Amino acid sequence: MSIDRIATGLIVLFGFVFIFWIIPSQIEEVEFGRIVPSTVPMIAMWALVVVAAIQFFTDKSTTSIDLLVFIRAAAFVALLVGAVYLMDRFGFEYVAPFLALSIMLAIGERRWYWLFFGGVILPLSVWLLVEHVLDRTLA
Amino acid sequence: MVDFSTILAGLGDAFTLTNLLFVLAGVIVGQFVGAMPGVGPVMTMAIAIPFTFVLNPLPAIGFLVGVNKGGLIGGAIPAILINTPGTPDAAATAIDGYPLTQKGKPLKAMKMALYSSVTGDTFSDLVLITIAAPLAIIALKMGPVEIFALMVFAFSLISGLIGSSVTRGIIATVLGLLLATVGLDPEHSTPRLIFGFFDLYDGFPIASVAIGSLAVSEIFLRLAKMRGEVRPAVNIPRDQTSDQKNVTFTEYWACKYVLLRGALIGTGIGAVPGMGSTAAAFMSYASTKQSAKDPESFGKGDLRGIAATESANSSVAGADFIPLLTLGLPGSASAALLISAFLIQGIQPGPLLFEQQGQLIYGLFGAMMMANLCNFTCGFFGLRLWAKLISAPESVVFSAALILCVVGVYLSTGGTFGVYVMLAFAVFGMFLNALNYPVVIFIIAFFLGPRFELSLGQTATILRGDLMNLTNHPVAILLFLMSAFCVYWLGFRDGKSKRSIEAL
Repeated sequence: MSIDRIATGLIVLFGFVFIFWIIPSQIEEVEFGRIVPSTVPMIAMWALVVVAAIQFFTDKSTTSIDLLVFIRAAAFVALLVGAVYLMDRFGFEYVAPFLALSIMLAIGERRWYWLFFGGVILPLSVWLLVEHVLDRTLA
Repeated sequence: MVDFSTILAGLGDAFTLTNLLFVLAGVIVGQFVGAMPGVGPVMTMAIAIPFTFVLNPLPAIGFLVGVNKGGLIGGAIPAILINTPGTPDAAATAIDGYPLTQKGKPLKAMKMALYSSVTGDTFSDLVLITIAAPLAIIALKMGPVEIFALMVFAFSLISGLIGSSVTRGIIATVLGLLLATVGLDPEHSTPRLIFGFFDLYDGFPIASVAIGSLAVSEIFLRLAKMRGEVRPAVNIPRDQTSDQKNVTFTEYWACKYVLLRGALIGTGIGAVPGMGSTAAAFMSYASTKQSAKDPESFGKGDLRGIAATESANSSVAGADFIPLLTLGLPGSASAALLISAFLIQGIQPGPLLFEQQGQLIYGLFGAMMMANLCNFTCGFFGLRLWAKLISAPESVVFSAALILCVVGVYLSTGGTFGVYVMLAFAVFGMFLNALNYPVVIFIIAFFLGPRFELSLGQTATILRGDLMNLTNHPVAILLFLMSAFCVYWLGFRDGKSKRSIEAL
């Protein structure tokens, strides 16, 4: 079974989970009004289920996913989540240079002048601009 | 109808030094990012939007328009010099632009691209300025039922035209509509789908969604694909003859019909939500080649090829504003981002704009004309500089872009919650991209979601729950029928027309 078909199957499943479990539990029932809070989510999810089901049986495309690219992308996402968490705790100006340097080193940048520019000058310039020129706080 | 004094006041607002500087800055940034393959004006607009909300509406939107227009010219530079389009719509420019570089005429090719781009762009801006206000008057005659039908039609059209299949387009649309319902229900003010996160009472922040799914997802994927390679530097020899580096007026004038055809195709396509500038460029190229007496010269460095593609893809930029300003319907990623900039500034795009914000709209038209002038000037004097920027390290560009995304979203949402939402949407955007679901449609549906729900509510009230009452609204019936026809024609007839465009 192709990745597309698996993904489409999961979308159908996602639609049913929403219709029968999430929408009833996460949207308050209202008795009055031409449309109620659950009207649009319900319409959207039924449309999703029907169209995804059609796609499941008719779609012949075979998308190939480069797993290595996805793993590397996931690592960058994790790096950024960690950096945002640390920025919240210690401050932007201490964490941003390490974040920028980590990214640059991870993608193979080894020229010291670019590392210095991208890893030190740029993040600190952003910090100076926002905190001291625009007078806004960055965590 | 907008009175003449409002038009003059709007243009007067536009032609100030402050606005000129913001438009100029936007054009410079746009040309710069357009010249760097992989960055592009859409990503830059997404990053820039949170920084513009501290500005007044006109300079803010003028800056973003400048970025968009600058990117049109910047994108052609790497296409011509290294056969790598800076933006997707410049792909057709490479067909004749790169062979000219190989013949030792890179400056000539870039200048032809510049002149053609500015010509097409100015043409479509003039069309926009001429027809937008009358169209808005017609749009104002439409009631909620017709507007609802029009939105359904727009969603059907863009679902069929953008992306690989109509089913994928519809799935992206309904996901956008679903996520737009998160937060307080507009009619009953009860919280929906917030899962205990009180920060979601106002829904997902627009900036987080736009930047996460359009910019950050793309940055993550590009970072993941990099292996530290450095793009080759491009050196344009200084000792070139005038013929090698300049486009004479005779050469430009010889392309007048090609330029006009490209501008007409681009304007027509830009006015239709979802078609996009890439399709316009390839259609213009194909029609120029077909009508030429010597079609065999195309693909070997023919100036007419560059003129055809650049005038067409650039004229989409102005025409994109026609559905945006008259109906409030964005037809492309850049238009969707501009709608979010309007919303952040507290302005609801649509036909009422001409009544309520006429001065701003004519100020925007003035800013667009200024952007064309800046585009020409910066392009003319900056081509050699942009050519050198092609080899700038992506490591610096993308790490800086990522930091700017974090800072921009933090500033616009006022905390780290918005940044986490941005990251969640970045992951979501990566999955959509990987599985060929069009992110642009998702964004457009997300932005139009609240209006869609409002129109649905009003329609249900007007029809009083009886579909037979729809017979009192023949325009709405026609739009619903056209929606069904679109889905059939573009989707279940196997997207024949779309494939023919792709095949060009």
